[in-house]
Formats: sequence, C-alpha cells, structure tokens
Amino acid sequence: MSELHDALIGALGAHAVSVDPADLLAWSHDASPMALRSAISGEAWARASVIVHPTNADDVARILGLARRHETPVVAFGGGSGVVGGALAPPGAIICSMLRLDHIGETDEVSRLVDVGAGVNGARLESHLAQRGWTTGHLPQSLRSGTVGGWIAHRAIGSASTRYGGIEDIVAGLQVVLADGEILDLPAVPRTSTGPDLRRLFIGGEGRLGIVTRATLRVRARPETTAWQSFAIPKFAGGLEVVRRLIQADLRPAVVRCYDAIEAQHVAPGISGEASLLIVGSEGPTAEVRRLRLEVSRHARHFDGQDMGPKPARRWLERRFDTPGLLSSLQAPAGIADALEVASRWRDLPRLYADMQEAMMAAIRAEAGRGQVYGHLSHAYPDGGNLYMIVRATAASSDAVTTTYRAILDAAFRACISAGGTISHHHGIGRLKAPWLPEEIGPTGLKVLGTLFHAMDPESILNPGSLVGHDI
Amino acid sequence: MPWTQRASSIQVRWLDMTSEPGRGAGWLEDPLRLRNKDDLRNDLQRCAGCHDQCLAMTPEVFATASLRHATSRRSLQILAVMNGSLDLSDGFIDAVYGALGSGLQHEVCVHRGDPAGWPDERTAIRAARRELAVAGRAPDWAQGRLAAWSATGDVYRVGEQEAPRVGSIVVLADAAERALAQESIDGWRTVAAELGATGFLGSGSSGLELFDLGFIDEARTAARDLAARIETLRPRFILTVAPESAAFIQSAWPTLGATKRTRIQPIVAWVARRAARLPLRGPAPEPVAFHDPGVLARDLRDTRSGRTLLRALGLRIVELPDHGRLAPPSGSIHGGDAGPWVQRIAEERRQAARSIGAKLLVTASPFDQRNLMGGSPPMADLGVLLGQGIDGRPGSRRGMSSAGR
Repeated sequence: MSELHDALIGALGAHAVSVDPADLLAWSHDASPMALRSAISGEAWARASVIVHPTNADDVARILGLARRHETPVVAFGGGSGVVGGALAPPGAIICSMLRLDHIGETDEVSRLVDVGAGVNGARLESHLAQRGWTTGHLPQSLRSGTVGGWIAHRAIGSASTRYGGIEDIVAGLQVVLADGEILDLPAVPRTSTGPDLRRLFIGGEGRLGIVTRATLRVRARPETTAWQSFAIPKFAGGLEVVRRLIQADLRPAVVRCYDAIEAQHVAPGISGEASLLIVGSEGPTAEVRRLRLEVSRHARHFDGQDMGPKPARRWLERRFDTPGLLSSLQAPAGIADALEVASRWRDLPRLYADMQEAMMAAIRAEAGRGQVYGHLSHAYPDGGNLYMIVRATAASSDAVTTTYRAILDAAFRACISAGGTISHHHGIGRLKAPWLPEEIGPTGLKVLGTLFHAMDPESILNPGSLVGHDI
Repeated sequence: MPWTQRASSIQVRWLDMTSEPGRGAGWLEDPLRLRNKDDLRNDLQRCAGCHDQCLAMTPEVFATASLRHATSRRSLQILAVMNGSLDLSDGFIDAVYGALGSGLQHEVCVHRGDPAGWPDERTAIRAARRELAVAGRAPDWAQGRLAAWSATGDVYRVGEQEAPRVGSIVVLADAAERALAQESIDGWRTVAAELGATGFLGSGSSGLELFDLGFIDEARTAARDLAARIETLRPRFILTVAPESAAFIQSAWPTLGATKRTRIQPIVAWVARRAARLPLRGPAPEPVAFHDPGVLARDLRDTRSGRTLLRALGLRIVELPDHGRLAPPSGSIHGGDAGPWVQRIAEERRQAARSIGAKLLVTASPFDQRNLMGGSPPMADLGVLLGQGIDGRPGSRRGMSSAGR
C-alpha cells in the first residue's frame, strides 16, 4: 500500500479507509449522463486511489492535511446524485465520503432551525422532520439520493421553490473545513452585514473552496393544506405568461411547472395539439390555499386555459422520481439523454427556449443523429424563470455518442448564453459544463474565481477540475 | 489493486443451472422473470446506469454509511464481476451478502411500469451469492447455515422436532420461526385450532434460507425433502407461520423441482379471512403500529390481513410513516450476522413508531419479530397476541401437543 494510504489509516483508523476495488468502483461515478454510460460499459470514468470515511470536521481536516502533504486531490462525495460530474474524482484522488456525517440535531423549534451533518440524505432528513411536524421545503428530484452537503455544493433547488426558495434561502449557518485544515464556523443568523456573506461563498462552491461538514437549515411547519391544479394552455408561450403574471402578482404557490407541447403529452396523456400543461401546487393555511387556487384559475382562464383538474398534477407528483424514458435512452447503445437546466429573465425566456431547441436539434442533425428536444419551466421568480431543456437522441453509432453529445451541449450552451441565459440554474457546473463557463462569466469572472481558488487552496487539492479547469 | 484488474481464476458461472437435467436455466423463470445470463446482464446494466432513486429505501447504505451497498452501485459491482473486470474482493462479498434484499428498491424503482419489466436486485444478489458460494467465498455466517443444515437438517440447528400431525389443514412451521419465534407458532396454532386447522408440520428448511444465501443445489434438496413430507400428510391447505415461507414455496419451489400439489398461503391471510369467527379479546386498546413484513406486503401484496386481525382484537392502529408496500425492512433476515449496523435499522423503525405515539409495535414475521425485539415501544408478534386473545386466555392452545417443543 502507498505511503498516503498508510498515513490515512494512521490518522483515521483502518475502518475509515478503503482501497477495496469494489469500493473504488462503487464511488467511481455520479449521475451525470456520460459517467453513467461509462459505468454501464465497465469503463472507469474517473479513478480514485482511496475512499475515506470521516465522521466529523476534525477528520476532514486531517484528511486535507495529508492530501496537501502528498499533493493529492480530494473530492467530497455525498450520495453521488450530481449530474454535472462535480464528484468525479481525478486519477489518484482521495474520495472523501461524507455519509458518516449523518447527525440530525434537535430542531430549535423557537427559531425553526435544525443542525444537520453534510452527509444526511434528503429523504431521510424530510422523514425525520415530518415525524416532528417540520419540513425544509427543499424537495428536489434528488431528494432520495442526494445529501445536504451535495445540495449546498451545487447550489440546488427543490420543486417547491416558489414557496421555500433554493438551498441558499434554506441554509442559515455552515461549518466548512478549509484546504489548510482550519475549520470555519458560520453560525446561523437571520441576516448579517458583516461584509460579504461568507455562507454564500461556499454555497455553490462545488467543494473547491472548502468541504462543508455541517449546516443549519431553516425549517417550516408542514403545510395545513395542499391543493393541486392542472390546466391546458393553448401555447407554451401562453403558459409561461400565466406563470409570470402569477409570480409578479405576488402569488406564491409552492410548485409551478409549465410543460411545452411535447413534454405535456408525456406528463398528461390526453392533452393534445400544441397545448402546454400548467401544473400548480399550492400549500399553506387553508384560507391562503383557497385564495391561491382561485387566483391561479383566474390567470389561467385569462389565457384560455382549460381546467384539467388535479389528476395530471397528482400524476406528476406520484411519478416525479421516475425517469424511465431518460434512462432507457441513455442506456441504448447509441443513446443520448440529458436535461439541461438554464434560466433567464422573462423577457428572454421564449427566445431562450426556441433558440436552444433549434440549436440542439441542428447539432443532432449535423452529427447524423436523430432525436427530440423539449422542455419545461419548473422554477419562477419575479424577474425570470428556469427552463429544463431535455434531449433524447440517438447518435449515428455508438462510437459517435460522445462527439454528438458534446456537439449538443456546445450548441445548447452557446444558444443559451447568446439569448442572455445562464447555463446552470441549479445543477452547478461540475466538469461537464466547465468548458462553457468562461463564455458566460468572461475573463474577469474567471479571474475572480481563480484568485479565490488560489488564495484559499494554493496547492489546488480541493476538487480540481470542477467548476473551472479540466474537462474530463 | 485497480478494480479493472481481471477477475481471478475463480470460475464465474452466472446462472448456469444446466446441471439439473431437463430443467435448463429455468430456475429463475416467472415470477422472478430472468431466464438467462443475458437477461441478468441487461437488468444489471439498467440498474447500474440509474441514479439511485431507491437510495433512501436502502437502509443498509445508511446503517453502514457506505455506497458499497447502494442498489445501483451493487449492481455495478456484480456487473463488473460478470464482465471479469472486478475481482471477488472482500468489499464485493460484503456488498453482496450485506444486502437486505427487502424488495423495497424494486417497489420504488424508476423503471417501475416499464412494459419490459424492471430490475429486481434480489435476483442479481441471489445470482451473485451463488457465484460466491460455488467459489467457496460465502462468509462464515452463511457457511454456518449450510453446515448446520448439512449436519442436522435444520439451518438453525434447532433440536428435536415435534412429530407431524395429520390434518386437512396443516400449519407449517419453517426453520426460522422454530428457531426465532416459537411463541408465535404456539399462538398461531391456537388460533388455527379454533378454526379447525389441527394439522402440523415442522421443518428444518423449506430451502428458503439456503436459496437466499446462494446455496441453490442444497435449497433444491431441502425443498424436495419438505415437499415429500407434505405429500405424506395429504393436506388440503398448508398455512405457513412465516409469510416468507409461503412466498418462497409459491415462487421458487416449482423451478427448484419441488412438487407443490397443495395450496399454500401465509396463516395470517387465512386467519384474517375468518376473523369474524374468532372469539377474540385483545389487550388494552392502546395505539399499536403494524410493521408490514416486506414479503407479505410486497411479494404477496397483502397489507390488509395483519390490520384486520389487529382490529379484530379491538386494537387501534396508528400507521407508521412508511407502511404497506413501502415499509422498510427491520434488519437482516435468515439470522445473518450482517453486523451491529442492522440494529440501527431496527432502532429507526422503533423511533418511527414512537413518533406516532404507538405503544406497541406488532409484526407477523419471525425475522421482523427478532429484529424489532428490545427497545421501545415493545414488539409483539401478531400470532402471540391472537393466541392470547382467544377467549382472553393467555397462551391458550386448544388441542395442541406440546411434544418436542
């Protein structure tokens, strides 16, 4: 065994260190499309040299100390639910599994805060809170597989974001281990003006500025009432307009989703033609929910919306974790599938949708493939919204998958940036989107990030290649 | 050693069941669906290429804090061994034998509803266990079950068996309940006798544990032996105390070549349909939670019988957060020494019961009974409660012989 391996065992104990080949394989990939393809085909997407299992921040500090001494990169790994390759280890790296940091503290019911370890699984956290009448309201599709630390690292958002916000709104305090082994505690406060909010520095940091080991999350009482509505709106643009007007009228249903005509037919069989599908989930006190329902109906009717009742919305709710279509595309020999989440201001959103769809389809055709691009909005703000642009395609051959996929991404992100959008709304950048980040934030933005990285991690041991850097 | 290193010389014979003349590779035919190695590989690929939406329903991951046990990543390991790119490492063996195999992952699989079916990790785990067993790499505790059965005909080395009692309806006490839940057998027999079922047969193995641990040939022998013993009693019905035994006999015996001419069902379902005929009186009507045995709820699709009987006892049921077909496993099965981490799983279940104010946690499986024993709230076996509830006479056992117990 290597000197590093021995040193890690000395620092953490043998029970916390593994070089078993089965473990190296188990931690070899996240949920990014090409990593999953590689996993299936038996090729290693990335190869760590060792898996370590810290149980607290001091352990993480010891790991980082050894990593610096041995000039070995460290990648924090939660549930592996990331879809942009942020946790794909560079060759020889240390994988720092966060799952043993799984403590859930008592809820401070007066302040409505709960302390949780970074390795706590989302569904288990929600189950724990639900037994006590609470929720974080952070309910992403990765709820069952993701961890709190992963959500923070990627600046995630849940499907009920209109009411509860993104993870940046839910995190009140953080504990972070810095590259030099120092532990930074940023306690929960409702707001601070002590300079830039350091919490925000690490939310979305993708493990490059430090490893988050604990967070204090805001919780809320579970809603008294939840109500679901669905409407067929004649055009996707009309559906987007309904959402904009709802949000700008200060109405805040928990869930607002609008599907284009293609995806609408997947979500609600029976919807036809060019109709889009609007799904709205309202929750809170009964009187507030009643008012929201009426307002939503009124806005939908204004755009000739046809009330489809709660059934399509409930169908989405029941199946929201199921992705058999995407997975079957991905697992076909020449299959490609991805869901790119972008965002822009309202003014640009229709163009963003049209331009990305056109560009992605053109890229597929240029590579002699065939496929379909469609999308939906699932998060809305007063000034804009996100779009999920979903591609399911078949490359000309299995050998052409990587080239075609890359061409689709290139076309998609260039069209996105050109239309005034951002290439990531809530998945982060990882290694998958890193090649296009410079185009979005420009050389000055890159300089700022580079300066930060260098100042906080001069040896570049913290997840190098994610966010900025190498393209694996 | 890199994981890409080729597997060692240990022979890998995935699902090569052709040693059974005339049966081909059919032991995993419906309802387990897989028919050959290619089917297994396809299912493993579909599972390995998934994004772990069943992770939160895989308690062994959180009890061990190791993704080694995540369903998709376990499938990936099995696939890699099949492909010859992963050796039979200690980690792999732990992943395969540490699997709880509750079927919950299958229930929530993202491929759910796919007309082509969707992967059931239990099939792959069983296949992998067989490979390890054939290679002599099964862990000691699993080998111990095999050794016990080889030496005594009983996988738990339970001593002398009660003599069979002929009857048109026979209560079958399989190995686990005899070893882990004798009081449950007594309770269910009291109830069954009240309903006219007086036959009895004890078993050292229906093949259930052996099959689950990957000792397929031995499971075949055990199943056939028990089938022959059942034949001599010529019953109309067999009622199994453990729902797991009924499910196993129904699904696996035909493909193991064990003749099953008698209708077999779990005793809980049979008694529930006749609950109105029972003179039951329960304990104090405090809120009770029913922990659905996974096999009963998911494989046998029965989430009602246990609750019907609790209500017949006059008990008020409060539901656990995850119940019915989504009930998590309570720990390991077949007495496997998966390690102290399984206690954490049981404690989480007890915590869930406490959170809903349950004063009693009730179940109807010897495995769940053993796992949930100890701690708060106390655990009660449904058969024991029913036996005590007959005429309000604790432990009443009308017409039962106590010989051999």
